[in-house]
Amino acid sequence: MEWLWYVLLIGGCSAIVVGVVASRIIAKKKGKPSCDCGCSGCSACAYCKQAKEKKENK
Amino acid sequence: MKRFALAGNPNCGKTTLFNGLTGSTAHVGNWPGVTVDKKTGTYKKCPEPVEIVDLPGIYSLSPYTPEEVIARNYILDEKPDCIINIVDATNLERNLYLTTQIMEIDVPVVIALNMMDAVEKMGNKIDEKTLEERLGIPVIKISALKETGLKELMERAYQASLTPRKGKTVLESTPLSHLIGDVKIALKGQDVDNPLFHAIKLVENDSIETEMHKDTLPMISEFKETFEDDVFGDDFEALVADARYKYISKNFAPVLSKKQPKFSMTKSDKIDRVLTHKIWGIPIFLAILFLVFHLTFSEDLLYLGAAGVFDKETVAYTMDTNTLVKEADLVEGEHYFDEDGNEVEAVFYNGDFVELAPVPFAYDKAGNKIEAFFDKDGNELTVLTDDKGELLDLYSADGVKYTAFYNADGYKVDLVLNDDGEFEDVEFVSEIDAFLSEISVHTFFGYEESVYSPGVILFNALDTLTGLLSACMSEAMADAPAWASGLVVDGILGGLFSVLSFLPQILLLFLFFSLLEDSGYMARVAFILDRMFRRFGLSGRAFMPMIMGFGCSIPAMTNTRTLADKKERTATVRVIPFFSCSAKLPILTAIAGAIVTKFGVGNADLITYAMYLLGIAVAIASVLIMRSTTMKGEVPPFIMELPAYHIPQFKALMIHLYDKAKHFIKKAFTIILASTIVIWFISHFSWNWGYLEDAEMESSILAGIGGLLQPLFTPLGFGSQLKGFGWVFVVAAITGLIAKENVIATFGTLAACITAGFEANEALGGVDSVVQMIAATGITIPALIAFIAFNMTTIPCFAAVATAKAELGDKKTFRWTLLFWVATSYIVACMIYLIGSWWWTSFIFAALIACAVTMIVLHNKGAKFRFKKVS
Repeated sequence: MEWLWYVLLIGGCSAIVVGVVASRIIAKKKGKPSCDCGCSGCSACAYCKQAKEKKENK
Repeated sequence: MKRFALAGNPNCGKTTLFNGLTGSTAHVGNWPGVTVDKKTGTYKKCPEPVEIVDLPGIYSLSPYTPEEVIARNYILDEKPDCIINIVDATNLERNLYLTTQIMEIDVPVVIALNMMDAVEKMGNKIDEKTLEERLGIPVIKISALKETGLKELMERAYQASLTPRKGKTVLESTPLSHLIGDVKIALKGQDVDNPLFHAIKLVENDSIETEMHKDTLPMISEFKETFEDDVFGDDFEALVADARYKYISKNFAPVLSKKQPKFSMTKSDKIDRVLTHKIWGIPIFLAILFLVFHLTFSEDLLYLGAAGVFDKETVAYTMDTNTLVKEADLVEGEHYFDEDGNEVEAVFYNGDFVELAPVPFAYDKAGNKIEAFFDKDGNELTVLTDDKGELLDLYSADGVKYTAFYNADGYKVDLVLNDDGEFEDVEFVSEIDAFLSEISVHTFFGYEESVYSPGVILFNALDTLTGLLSACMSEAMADAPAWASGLVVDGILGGLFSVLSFLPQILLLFLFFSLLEDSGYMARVAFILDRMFRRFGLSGRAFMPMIMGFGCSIPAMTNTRTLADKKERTATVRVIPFFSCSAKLPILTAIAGAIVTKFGVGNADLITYAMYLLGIAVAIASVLIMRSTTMKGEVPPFIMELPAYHIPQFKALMIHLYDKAKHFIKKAFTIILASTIVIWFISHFSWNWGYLEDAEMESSILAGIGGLLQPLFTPLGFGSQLKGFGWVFVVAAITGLIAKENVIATFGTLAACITAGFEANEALGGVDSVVQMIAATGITIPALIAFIAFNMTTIPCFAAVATAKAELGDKKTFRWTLLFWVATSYIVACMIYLIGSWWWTSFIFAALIACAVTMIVLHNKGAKFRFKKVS
């Protein structure tokens, strides 16, 4: 049954890491970089401001 | 969709109104300058949805700072359908100064008379009908805090937005009217929007307007030459301002009828006499700050334990005669009864009494103590194994066979035998039982030796919960391969929980900071510190973004837009990371805990407080150096309106905490979780992709990378001198660049493996295992403090670096800023380690500092001399 552990854990961990990295890359490409300051997207930080400007320019 | 803009003076309640209208949770604070960028939301209760735009606070439409420019540009360029001008009714005259300027724009305007509840509480009255007639625009009384009058305000604003409005000025009846009229006609001829507004601003010599209408300037200068004023001469800005204030005090101020015309001190004034005292102001601030840290981090609340309140002499009773024996008369290794009648053994270390340790016994299912074991035939057994070392069938004196054994609390246990097969101890069968048996009321509150602070109690509660989850997971994976349980329990959960356990303390610290901010005290601190900051080349205004840095460097760096001087802004952005943010809190607390637990030095709250003060001291020293060398410039005057003290709003506090908790948890389950997984993998695989056991971790990819960089950190105390463990600190510091929480998450992930080689790796839980790991590496106290200082002052997390890049503007300044962070952290950590380890090196550093100061002073004097010579 050890193969099941390999599939579950290696697969799960890879999914988490790839998911986190990919979501950041996709968000950046879409002009919605993830905000890390906890400002709830209120445009109080540089990330949200840049995202908003990109959206407005489009 | 219609768009309404909220405009008004700083700290008049715009964001509170914005939150009330849109249901948003934008940050509000009781100090001017909280909002530095426009925010949008939707109000849905009008006949059609309305977009509400919250603008930064402004005193006039002639801006000085970047965030004031944002407000002015929005009002003029974006042409909202209506401007809701929020007027602080408790400061009517001053707030109406901006109103008189907004009125001059061709846009519908309504006035929201905010804080009417406070006005009525003071016993004053405002005749809003008269004010409305005199202004010629709708005036509605509201309280944004209590959300009263908001519906009427929006109805009137919607009605106003349906009809276009022409700008009107209060300067019509003044001697300036002809001059303004002439300029207005000239601008109309050029098809300029809002000609009245621009005409007045041009007369005022507003810098933005003169830049925009360069061609018209010669004509305006000609017009101005025909105008003369005995008092102000050609200072048209002062002339216009004077005319506005005269009009306001004559026509609008009388609508306010005050209950107490004679002068009396308000409550805020009385409090300020103490809190903003010339001498005691700063010590009071430091004392309040210490109290906050004490309530959050102290394991000895009010130092009751240190004061001896909980001290009691250990006593025991002899087993044969049941005679009282005092601590001083206890004999090493002797067995006694304790006060509860349990058999205990006196444990000594180096000749000193340590504790009365319970003597282990096994119990049967009914809870009876097993004093002796018997075989089937009733013979008493001392050796419980057969020739092959297998446990024999054991019976009670009554001939009943034992099928299972239990401890005194009823948890199932296995017997532990020595090499001779004699009974020695019991051990838990279940890890969950082992964990639960450790939990007692003392675990949370610690009242046997001291009382824990609220922060530590909350921390213990969450740490216990995460520990239980780890134990459950460990038990659930009992049949899984060792690497799988190692990855999940030690790697992922160990790393994640060592960070998550700090959430209660972070929230509590934030709650205290929010209380201080919302009450209006933090604005006073900026005022108190202005005098001190001025000596170092900053104004007190720079303190507000710095204090925001205690929460997160990102909004703090954005808030530097309130600083008008570019060099002051750059210097402030550079030192903001030195104000330890909440992500650095786990580093401080875990290492302070390690210092206290393993080295028995100081109190955790004192160490944490001292590290925060160290950050402030480094920031001040850095600013002083920058402002005397590369960032020279005049300190701009600091004018800030001190808000009245008020009891913080419960809703606003909860919003702050909710946002903080949401952000922290989101970060833990994304970036930190991903980082711990990667760290576990690269710490358990060698360069040729072979799997490594815990004890072989020194051959891992991670150890290889860390080992390569290790010598760089030798002068800082956590490099080559730690031999096989220096790489642990190096990789932790590097992973901290992604997010500072990663430093402790990395320790948490590696802890179980590092400590495995040293002592029995019990289920300690996230933070405890980190503390144990730190001690196991053999690091010294100065090196640990240097490690904290390095992480506090080095390059902040990626997100903060991106914000700094955006706020600083040019690439050159940004690159220098990165270099500044690296150099500062290295020098500060090096100084701490060397002076802490070899006190005499302080003389070398003192000499070096003296040389540097002399060189700066001589250089500056030389520059002045050269300048004089040339001029």
